[in-house]
Parts: sequence; C-alpha cells; structure tokens
Amino acid sequence: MASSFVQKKPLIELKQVSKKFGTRWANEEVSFVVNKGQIHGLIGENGAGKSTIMKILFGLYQADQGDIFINSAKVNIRSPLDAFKHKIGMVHQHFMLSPAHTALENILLIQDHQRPFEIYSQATKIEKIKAKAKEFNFEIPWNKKVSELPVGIQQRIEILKLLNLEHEILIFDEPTAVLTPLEIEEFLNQLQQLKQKGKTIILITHKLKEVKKVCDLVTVFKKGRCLGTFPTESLSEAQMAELMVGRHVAFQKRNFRKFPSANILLRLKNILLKKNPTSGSSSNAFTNEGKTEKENKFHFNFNFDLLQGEILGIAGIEGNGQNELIDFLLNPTKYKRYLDSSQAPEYQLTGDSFLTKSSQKIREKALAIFPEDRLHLGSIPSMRAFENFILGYQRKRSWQQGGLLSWKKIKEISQERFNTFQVEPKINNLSFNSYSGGNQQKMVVARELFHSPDFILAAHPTRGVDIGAIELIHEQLIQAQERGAGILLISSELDELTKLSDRILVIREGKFVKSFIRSEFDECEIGEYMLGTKE
Amino acid sequence: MNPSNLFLKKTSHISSSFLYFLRTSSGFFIGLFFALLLTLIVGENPVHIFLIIMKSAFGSAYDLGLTLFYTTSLIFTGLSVAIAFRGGLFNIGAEGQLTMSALGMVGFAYLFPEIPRPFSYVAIFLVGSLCGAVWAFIPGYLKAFRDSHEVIVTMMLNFVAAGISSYVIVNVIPNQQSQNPESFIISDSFRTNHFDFINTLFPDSPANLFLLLAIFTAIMLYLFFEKTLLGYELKVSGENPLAAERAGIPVKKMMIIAMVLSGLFASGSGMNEVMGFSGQFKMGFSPEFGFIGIAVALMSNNNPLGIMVSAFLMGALHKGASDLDFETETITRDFSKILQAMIIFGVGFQYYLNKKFFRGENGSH
Repeated sequence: MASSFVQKKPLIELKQVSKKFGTRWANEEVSFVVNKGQIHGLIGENGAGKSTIMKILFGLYQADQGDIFINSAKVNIRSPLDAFKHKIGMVHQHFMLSPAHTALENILLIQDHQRPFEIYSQATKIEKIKAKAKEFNFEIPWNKKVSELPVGIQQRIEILKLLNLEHEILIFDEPTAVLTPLEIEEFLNQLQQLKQKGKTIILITHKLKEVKKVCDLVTVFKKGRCLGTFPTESLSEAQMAELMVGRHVAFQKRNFRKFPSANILLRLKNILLKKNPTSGSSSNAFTNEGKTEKENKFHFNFNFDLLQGEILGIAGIEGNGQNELIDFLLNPTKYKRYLDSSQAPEYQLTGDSFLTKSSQKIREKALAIFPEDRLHLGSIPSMRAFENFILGYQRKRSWQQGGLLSWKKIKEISQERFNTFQVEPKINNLSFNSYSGGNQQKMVVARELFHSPDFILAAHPTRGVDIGAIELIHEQLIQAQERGAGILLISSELDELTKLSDRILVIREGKFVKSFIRSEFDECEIGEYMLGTKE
Repeated sequence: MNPSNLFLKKTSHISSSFLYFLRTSSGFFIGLFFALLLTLIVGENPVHIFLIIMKSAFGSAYDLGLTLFYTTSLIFTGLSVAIAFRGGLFNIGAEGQLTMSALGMVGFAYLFPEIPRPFSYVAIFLVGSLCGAVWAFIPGYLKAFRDSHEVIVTMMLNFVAAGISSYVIVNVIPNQQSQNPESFIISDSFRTNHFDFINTLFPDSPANLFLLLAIFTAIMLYLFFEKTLLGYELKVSGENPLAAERAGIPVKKMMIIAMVLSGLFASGSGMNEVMGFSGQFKMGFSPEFGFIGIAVALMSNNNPLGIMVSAFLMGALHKGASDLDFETETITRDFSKILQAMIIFGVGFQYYLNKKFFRGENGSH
C-alpha cells in the first residue's frame, strides 16, 4: 500500500487488525492508513466491519490481533479514555447529550481534568468554549435546552464537545443519517472547515454522494475485510458501489409502469388528536430523549387518502407526528380518549371503518407493517429468525397442524423466503439479533410481504441498511405497488421519498403542511417545509 | 437441535455436549463448591459435609422419598416462577399462592366432608387450583390494568396469605388432638394415600403420586411453549411487549394469563402436601418452596424440562442439609439457605460466563 497518496508519516496506521465475535470475524486482517489533515471515508455494506474497526480505534472493543500505530508509535487503546489521551474523539449515531441541559452546559460538563466538586460554569471556561466555536464558525444558541434544538445543531454541539477537548482525530458514524438536505449541506461545509484547521476526520457513511464530495481518501470494506484505500477522485459513485456490493448496482430512478387507480384504499379524515397518550411508552421508546417532550406540545391532525396502487410518501423530520400516525393506524382504540369526535372522524381501510376496531382485527386485514424500529417493534431479538417469521401472523391457520404450531413447516417456508431475499447467513435458526441490521430488515420485509398485503405501512424501510439491501427492498415495494397495493412510505430520506413516491405529504408538528405531486418534487423545497422555514 | 452446538464443533475439539453441560449447570456446581468451602470457617471438612448431605439425601429409600417429596413441590413452584418469567413477570408470590391453595382445600374439605368419591377428588382439586389461581390473578390484574408492580403486590399478598391462613388454622379449623398449629385432618375421600403406588416404593416417606403430576405438568408446559399459539404469544409478549402489541397480541391479557397459570402451578405444591401427604394444613409446611422455586427456575433458565432437574438438585440439598443438625456440632439445617444463596450467586456467575464466552450464540431455551 505504499502508494503515492499515502503520506510519509501517516497519522494512524492499522496493521492486520482482526476482531472476532463468537465464531464470526467482524474484522479480518484489516490494514489501512489515515493521513493527517484529511477527510477519510469508510464505506461498505452493513456488517462489513467499518463500525467495528472504528470502535476498536476508539477503545470500545479490543482487537484480538493486529497493531495500531499513531504517529508511528504503537498504541494500546483499551477504553475511550485511552482514546481521549491520543486525541481521538467519536461522534456517535445517537448523540450523547443531556436533553435537559442547555447547549453550553452540555459542553461544560465534559472537560479535561475535571475535579468532582469544581464549579463547572467558570467564566474562563465559557469564554474558551465560545472562542472555540468562533474559530470553527459554529453558531450555537448557547442558552437553549438541547431538547428544543434541531438535530443539526445537536450534532454541532457534539462536535464542539470534541473540539473543546482539543481532539485531533474525529470519527463520525453515519453523521448525516438524521439530517435534512440543508443540514447535510451545512455539515459537509463544516467538515471542510475542520479539515482546513488541520483536523483529521474519519467518516463512516452509506452515502456515496457525500464521500465523493468531501473525502480525500476512501477505504472500502466488504465482509469484514478491507478491500483497499483509494483516492476519491479515482472512483465514481457507481464504482464504489460495485466494490462494496461485488456486482453492478442500478442507480436510476424508478420508472413508472403503472399509475395508481382511482379507488381509495385508505382514508383518514378529520382525525384530530389531542396530546399524545403514548409518550414514554411504545412509539417513543426508541426516539432520542427529549423528543418526547417536544411531541407533547402539539396536537395532531391527520387528513389524507391513499389510492390503490399508489406510493404516498410522508416527509418530515423525526418526531413530528409520524410515530403517532403509525400507532394510530395500527391501534386506533388506544387513541379513543384523545380523538375529537365532534369533527366526524373517519378511518377507512378497503371500505371498512376501522375507527373502533381492535389492533388484532386490524392485523388480520391484509396489512403489512415495516416498523420504524425493527428491533423494538418488529421482532423479538432474542428469538430465532424462523420464530420471528410468524410474528404478527402467528394466528394464521396455515402455520398449524392439528391445532399445534408446525415449526418444521415454518422453518421450511421461512428459509425459502429468506433465500429469495438474500438473507445472510443462509440459516434461519440463529437468534434474530445475531444478524446484521440490513439482514434483519430484509427478514422483516420478507415476512411482511409474504401474505400479499393490500396496504403496506413502510416506516423508514431502509434505515441503516446498505446499498444492496436498499435496492432489493425498493424493488419489492415497487412490485407490490404494481400488484395494486397501496403503500404509505414514511421516511426521513428525501432521496428515497422522491425516488419511490407518487405523491409526497410533508408533516410538521403533527399536521400535513404541504402536498407535492411527482412532477413538482424538489428536494430543497420539501426540506424547507420540513424545517418550517417555508409555510 | 441446538444451533450453537454446530458452531462449537467447528471451533473446538472439546465435545459440544460437555460445553452445553457447562453452560447450563456450571453455576450450580460453583455455588455448591463455595458454599462447602464456607464450612472451613467453622473448622469442618467440606468433603465430610458433602458426604453427609449426599447420604442424607439419597442414603435410603426413605431419604430418597423425602427428597422426591421436596422435588415435587419445587417442580411446581419452579414452573410457577418460570411461566411468569416467560410472560415478563417476576412472581415472588408462589409462596402465598400455594398457601392459599392449601388453605382453600382444607377449608373446602371442612365445609363439604360428605362428597363421595371420585367427585371429592375432582372438587378438591378444582378448589385448590382455583384458590392459587385467584391469588395470582390479583397481582396480574393490578399489573395489567393498574400498573402496580407485581413484585410488590405478590410479596404483600404472601404476608396476607400467611396472616389469613394462620388465623383460620388456629381459630377456625384447628386440630383438636394436637398442640401444634395445624388444621384438622381432612376425610380420606379427599386424600390419595390409600391408592398411592409411588408412596409404596418409598415406604414411610411423604413421596406421593403428585410427583407424577409434577413431571407431567413440566412436560406439558414445555410443549405449551414450544408448540402452541398461546405459548408463542405469551413468550413474545414477555420478551418484547411493544412488538407483541404491534403483532396484535393482547399484552395485558397475556400478563393475566401468565399469572393465573403461575398460581395454578404453585397450587400443586399445596396439593402435594394436603392431598398427597399429610391431609392437613400444618403451619410452616412449606420451607419457603415459593422462594426456592425462584432459584430452581433461574438455574434452568426457565426451561420446564430443566426445572425437573434443578428441582431435584435443590430438593436433594434441602433434604441433605436437614441431617447436618445432628451429624455435626457446628452446622445446622439452616446451611441449606446458605447453599441456596450461593447457588443463586453461582447461577448469576454462570450467566456472566456464558455471555462472555458464548457471545452472539443463543443456546436452546
């Protein structure tokens, strides 16, 4: 690897690093170098080992074999505290902020050499932090509580925390997954600025567009191994995808073969909900803390029709009512007390009123749900894959033989089904949580589409899923649509929404603020409505 | 059968069944080992103590009979705790449930002594089951619809059950011929001892045919979890109530079902004593079977088949420790409590070891 793009004295050098989980190699003899003052991208499918290697570098995992060198000196990083000593910081996918504290307090709480009884809000420290922010052009509303701030700003606070500790190496794990298009733009500019100030940045991402835009070097991972490091100019997006997946990946937009019919499949009319009854439980259990408070502030108003054979996209920043919408559709009786019945609310699915139906009755309909959080809402992680295959459809007669569940049959059918969906590894008796995220999602999709649903509620169907799986899931959705199914696509990925949807509704603070038809799709405009900068 | 075994074969030359044995029972032996080591403090020889326990537990047909009698009760309470666990609940109340069951049976036999065979058996069996089930329904209902924590409620109901039973036994239906706090002896038409073929194998011991019922119940519960829709739904709502709700499973109903079944199983312990053995409610007839049942369930990771084994081990230790009183000068039968405690620690340690060395592979459950 002594290529010309490697500096004489690289900042970080990983040599033959291996890590084993149980019997599976998460990383196998991974070697690559990171140059000082550059932005270094790590790409690869889910479970390819890019997050694992960074967690080793950050001290969350210990390598089983191999060495790490920083500034040509061999280091032994046993914990994040060790990583701090080597000036390595990591911005995690889920921010480590206290929602009840202000932006400033959050940064003050994490300080070098802090003593237990020290007053944390010393003027000198505050000054230092503000100077730091100015140096890197960070605008932060210092005295607002983190729970009230948008995700983009929260991320900035997270970065500033690391800068304040004088970290030189910043690792970002999927930083743009939660951001809107405008915020992504800003974030990428910030990365460039950090680079100009001499910081070294490692960026784990699925979005090749961003790699192309900001990275100097890119290292490709596949199945726990490192395929090599390349200068970003030398690879096109399609080439990167091909390296990652191992075959050619189609990038074109969806082409329309069939247009939606005029039949209404799902109708929500005048569904006015007072405050959210589920806060703290089901639908919010997985969102960032602090969001629950925000959600409670507004009422909900759901009003739309979904046609047969239509993909209706719901765009919005997370926590603006999407979860309540899903929850309401699946369990309307739970919301009985909160529903304003004076407005003649209607909830019709395939012509039947569902307003007072129990969740069991609704599940018996030909309805599929890709839950917004597959581990908490869509599976039993500790149970085996084939046992998960009947979840939600467990009462179907076809699983039974003489009144008892026939696991043999379920195993066979699910194995066949998983094979069609290319679930890896190709055995179905491992526990659900031992599959990688992308494969878990494939299993959920395989299960939900098995019963030829008329209505598909697809919430974030490709969140945290790699390119190959995204392609497959999108194909399946389009096939279902061509069969005549109606799909409600809830997503925070504008790319995905504009690729698949016939129509997009923008949801903000519990209400639909704008509707776009396919010919009007404009990512920037949609983004503005999502943020509320345009009303 | 066990997928992890397939993996282990690839990586290790040690036979996989030995590893499986280690994963499931190392805790018991670690606990036993350290508990025995403690006897060094008072100057006893741990090997000697161990031999006393073994001899006392298995030394004669009578000893083995007593061990099996304890085993029977512990299978029932173990199953009781296990099904609640599987349903996502921690039933500390098996003790109260078996107490109420026993009290209900004795009370029923007092009120209706004239019922002819075989209806007498059916009736007292139903009454016993019902009392245990109702006593468990209360915390189940409160948990499901009032969000009261089942641990607190079951624990308090244990005290309530103890209070009610001691009042009724001493003041309402006492045994006139005895100075001991115990109830009158129920009529023979409610007792199984005159056709008890198990008991004839272990003469003079309290072992009785409820042992067979316990084994049968354990096997049925195993099949219930593995094969039935209700068992599946119960497991699902216990493991992940949010996903269960999404899957159209009535989670609250499942909680109540789990608790009612739990109480039903605990009742078996009461029947073992009242119908199968003594025919009366003796105060303190249960040396806290309900609590030992927690250890039994934990040891076998709530697997009904494993519970039979762990109940037998705990039954043997309980019986074995009872002879320490007169075989040694320094150690009393209370040593069985130390044994239990150390084994619970050991089981906790076993979970830790399994997590550390067998990460990412779920064994059979």
